[in-house]
Amino acid sequence: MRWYKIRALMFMDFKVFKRSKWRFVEFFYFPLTTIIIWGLFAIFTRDFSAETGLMVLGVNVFWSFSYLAQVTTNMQMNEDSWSGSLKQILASGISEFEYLSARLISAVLISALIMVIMISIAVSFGLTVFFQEIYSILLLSGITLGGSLALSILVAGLIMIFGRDYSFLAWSILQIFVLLSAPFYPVEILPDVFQAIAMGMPFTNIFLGVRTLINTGTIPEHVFINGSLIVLVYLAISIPLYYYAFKRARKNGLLAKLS
Amino acid sequence: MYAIEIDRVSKKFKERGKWFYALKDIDLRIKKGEIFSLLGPNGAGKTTLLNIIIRILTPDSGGVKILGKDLEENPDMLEQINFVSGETRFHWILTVDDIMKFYAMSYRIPPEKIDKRTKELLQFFGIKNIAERRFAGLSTGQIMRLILAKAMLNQPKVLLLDEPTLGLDPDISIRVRNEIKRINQEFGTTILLTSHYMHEVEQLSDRIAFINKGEIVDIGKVEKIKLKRFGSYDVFITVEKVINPSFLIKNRFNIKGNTLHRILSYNENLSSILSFLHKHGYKITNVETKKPTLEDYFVKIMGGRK
Repeated sequence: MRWYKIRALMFMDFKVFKRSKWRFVEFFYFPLTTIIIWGLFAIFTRDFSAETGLMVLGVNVFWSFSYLAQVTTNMQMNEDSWSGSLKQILASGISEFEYLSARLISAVLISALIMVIMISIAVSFGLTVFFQEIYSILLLSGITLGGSLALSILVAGLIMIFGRDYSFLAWSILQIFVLLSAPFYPVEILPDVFQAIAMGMPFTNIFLGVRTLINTGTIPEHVFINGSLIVLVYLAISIPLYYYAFKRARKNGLLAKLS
Repeated sequence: MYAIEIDRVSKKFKERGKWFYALKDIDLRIKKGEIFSLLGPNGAGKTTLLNIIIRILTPDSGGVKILGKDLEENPDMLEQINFVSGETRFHWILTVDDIMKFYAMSYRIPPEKIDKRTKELLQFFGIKNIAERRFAGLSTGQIMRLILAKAMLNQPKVLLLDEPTLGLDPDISIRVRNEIKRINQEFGTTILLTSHYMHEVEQLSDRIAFINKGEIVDIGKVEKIKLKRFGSYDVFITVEKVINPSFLIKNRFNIKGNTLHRILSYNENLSSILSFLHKHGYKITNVETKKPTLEDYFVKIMGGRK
């Protein structure tokens, strides 16, 4: 892994970000307006159900964060393919892992910055427990990031296997994962089969942690442990899959077509 | 040591359930400083071969060496080469300057030299004035010059050009061809070119390989492979006075006025024919040859296709 290759790609990512108006909308406008909407909802519900409003707000902070981290990685990769520049990038000697790593680091930096802003806004709407339990929040953010990045690696691998027609996975896959991760409700209210699926979702423990924190003021240790283990399993699956998919795409010509 | 060595490279693809060879046992040696062209019809395997060289595609068998080093074992050698095609595109939102800087960083040009190198190349290719323009706003000619400027960032020892003038207006094509020649002459860069345009290949190449259905049909200097296929060419020699017609006819000349026509086989030497005439008292005033063009060659090779 060569740092100068990663730095070059990150330079490109930040130039694209700086010059795109819609990126501003994607990265700042949607997450921040979402937090403001649910922040106002939290104020509205404060008098009759304080935890409900804050819970919805807290879950939305992590939902937006996970979406940002995953979509940023995959959209940058998609744009290289759509713009026709992927072939040039790879022909300059950038390896598949340097290419992926640069996009992951860019995504982490961008989404971490926006997470800080989202938490600050959420705290101003009464989610002060996020501030009081900052270490738990940092840990939970780290697990969320791990889950999102594992998903983005998985999506990158799937696009390499199935082709450009599957680019839509970049912005649609997280929705189904969040739905199955029981964001606003406990896993137990889901039908049995979905409960089993939910236990294997990377964000289930994160949303459980957020809800528990708001209700009790702490997060049980097992939530962090289970959450981390599931993320590790996802990484253990997605990284070899990406490697296999890239190698396969080089072999069967799909990489040339994607380029 | 060769600039590029391609050793028995084969690649098969599956189409509608059937396997076919996109490349079959391709063997090529390209010398340093040479302009070498791959010629062939659509789907002949030219771009497939370039894709293998830049490691976008893995060969089923065989290998590629750049400057004596195996590419698969030394992927860093990709930094010694550069690749551009007529279809090369960059991110639409980046400026000319952004694109140059990204590739400069990627080719490990020291940060303090990036600005200087970028400016020099933009100046060299006459696009310094559009450094801040976004890629989406460039004309076709400006795009081509940007592509060539980017291609020279790492001062490549080997430059791969895939259909560099595809879809360009004639005036821009001429300019691009001149730039290619200039790169080869001024930097000593080895160039491997693919093209559909016969006159382009004829004008630029030291040697060519004709590829059809994934196999090399002919390889060599342009003149030689043309003559090899055609066997002969026409020579028209104008002399001041025809002295001895029967002697000329006996020596396979056709006479029309003061012009002598002779069909010359490719292994016959024109200068020996001229010396022969001179020795027999003929004063030569003009010599014209009518050789088959590369287009004639292409048509002849592809003549059988349906």
